[in-house]
Amino acid sequence: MGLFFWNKHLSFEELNLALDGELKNDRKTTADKHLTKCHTCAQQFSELQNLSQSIEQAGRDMEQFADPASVWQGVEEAIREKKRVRLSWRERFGVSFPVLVARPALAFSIVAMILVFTFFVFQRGTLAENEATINSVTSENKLVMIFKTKERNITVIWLADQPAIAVPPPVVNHQ
Amino acid sequence: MERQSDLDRKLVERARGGDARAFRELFDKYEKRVYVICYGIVRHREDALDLVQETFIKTYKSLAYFRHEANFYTWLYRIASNSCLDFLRKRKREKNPVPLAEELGADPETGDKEGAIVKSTDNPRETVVRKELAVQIEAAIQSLPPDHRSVVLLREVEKLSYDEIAKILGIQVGTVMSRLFYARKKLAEKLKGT
Ligand SMILES: [Zn+2]
Repeated sequence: MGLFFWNKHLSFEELNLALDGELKNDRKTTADKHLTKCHTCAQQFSELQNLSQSIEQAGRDMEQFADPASVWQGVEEAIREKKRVRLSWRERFGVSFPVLVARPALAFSIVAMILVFTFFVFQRGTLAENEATINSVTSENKLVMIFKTKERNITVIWLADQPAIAVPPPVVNHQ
Repeated sequence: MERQSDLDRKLVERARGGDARAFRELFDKYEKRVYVICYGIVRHREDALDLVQETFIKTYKSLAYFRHEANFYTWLYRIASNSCLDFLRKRKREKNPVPLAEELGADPETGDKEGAIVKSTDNPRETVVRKELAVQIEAAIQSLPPDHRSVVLLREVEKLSYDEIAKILGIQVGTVMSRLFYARKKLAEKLKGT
């Protein structure tokens, strides 16, 4: 039995587990015993140990660049900010400015919708009882449509991919 | 270690109650360690500092969600490593990292400078050897994928168990092992090869 273990070198995995203290019970005893007797494995184990220590040292040497004073300044400001306004703009609306910058079509659609709404607010008074209005605005491959009837006071908004048929760019149809 | 985590829990409790000084204590205790993790993953000093700041802000904002059965540092490191990996994912490609040689203050042409990362020892030769080794390790770590770097740092610098690392990174213990062993093999090869 002893001969069997003696002949079997520790695998790379076992060496790592031994180094990290992750071997338990019998496996640990066997590995420890092997390491005291086998020069080849002991050598590999010590190389792993050196590597581990060098990385740890490199990590410790990094700490001096952590600049706690300036980092804390930013954290403290945010803490004060949090006490004043609990939610950021992004947390409130679920969309951030960078997203709008990255997707001009989306940004344009939103602006177009706001403009059309504003238009309606001003037009509202002139609508007759059974009239309905449909407004559409196109932007790149997006089509924004607003449908409104005065009597039921319903506003429907489509923000959909524009169909293949050409719709003249910024069109406002008012009936 | 047990007592440390008890102390952390008390500080978290006080910070939750609005005691900014308690949060400052947690910050002072962990800021440098979080920096090493962030720098280790993103390999860019300014980005790392921003991410450390972001980590502590996120941590403060979510103190209410901290569960006392977990260790504070496990939770903190999780926020840190997630922030860093998210950052790299968003940025898609990494900015040119500042080579360690520069941060070391060791100009390739002029050699030593003030503010060297590796603190000088009494033995100048030993200092030089350590600097060279640090540069080699830096380059070797740089060559690893970011999710492997985080495992290496949490194990080698923070000396966390596989189980803790798995919890922090939200991966299986088996994945921790395979990443760590792969990384060590690669690092050993790199260091031998140069
Ligand atoms: Zn052996």
